[in-house]
Amino acid sequence: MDALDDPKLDALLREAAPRGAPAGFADAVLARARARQRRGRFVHLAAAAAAMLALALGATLWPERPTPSPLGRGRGEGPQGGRGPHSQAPHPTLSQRERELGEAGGRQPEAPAPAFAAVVPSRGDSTHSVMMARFEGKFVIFARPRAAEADEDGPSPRASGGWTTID
Amino acid sequence: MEPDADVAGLVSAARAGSEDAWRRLIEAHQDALLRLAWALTGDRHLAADVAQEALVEVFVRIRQLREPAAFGGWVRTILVRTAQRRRRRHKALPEREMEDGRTPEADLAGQELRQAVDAALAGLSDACRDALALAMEGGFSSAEAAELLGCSPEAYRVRLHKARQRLRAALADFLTE
Repeated sequence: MDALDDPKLDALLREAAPRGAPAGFADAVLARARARQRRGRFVHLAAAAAAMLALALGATLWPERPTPSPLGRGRGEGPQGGRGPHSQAPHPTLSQRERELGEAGGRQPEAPAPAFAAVVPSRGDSTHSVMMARFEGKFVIFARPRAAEADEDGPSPRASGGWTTID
Repeated sequence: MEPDADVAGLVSAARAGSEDAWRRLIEAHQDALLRLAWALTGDRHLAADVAQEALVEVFVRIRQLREPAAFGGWVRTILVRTAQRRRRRHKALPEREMEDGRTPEADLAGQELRQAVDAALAGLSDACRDALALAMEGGFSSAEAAELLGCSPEAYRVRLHKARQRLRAALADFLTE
């Protein structure tokens, strides 16, 4: 039984309840929704433009540095090996040379670091944050899904990544 | 409320960008959503804003709805979440009169009752008010309401019982008239 079981109380609450939406309610909702949609589009556009600018600047001007950066250090993130462009596995693998160095030197080879990185956070109804980096002569892009809300309907977004070589 | 097939058709049209479909969907649900928002917040001014905010959320997330015929339940779920979010950060607003079509005479007659009910609702704990709101206006079964509120069906029934008990006590003068 989900209805109120006290008819008097039920009637009282219904009498006191708002009796209808204010005039122009639907128009106000639509105007607010359109404004939010426009704001979302602008933010996406600005983020995409900023990312492209960062990518272009980084790829052409910024030399690779051997110094580790917080993004790459410790976790050894980033693609290596010859999987070719658009690989779906951006996890690190050690090259033969690095393995030999590690074994000979008795210590772990230092994790390579990206020369530059840019992060485009998710906004509005977008499903992913996008991270980009130049990494050992390769351009790496990684899309990380944002956390789904509890009441969110629809498939869970998946992480994906890939890289390609930059000359 | 329109039959499921009509709602599904309107949702499809709304997804395709039809302004008319959006307007019809909003108008079909706005009164019930406003009552539910009021019951959830205990504040009729905040309720209109919460209902609007929830409908904007619906507008933005409409592509995430898998079953167009389930639109009504989905909207109510979003409204409950929106009300809970807003309630957490809401600070008291100055008293304003609701522009909902009442005549001044009816306003005078019902004002005392509305103020008493608002105060009684506001005096409930959030958990009790949520349970009462879903029972009054949500259109959910006990199991669905309990799931939505993140509690067991037994806890939901206990909260509902407490809410009714407290409202009866707070509104005793009106109930005996």
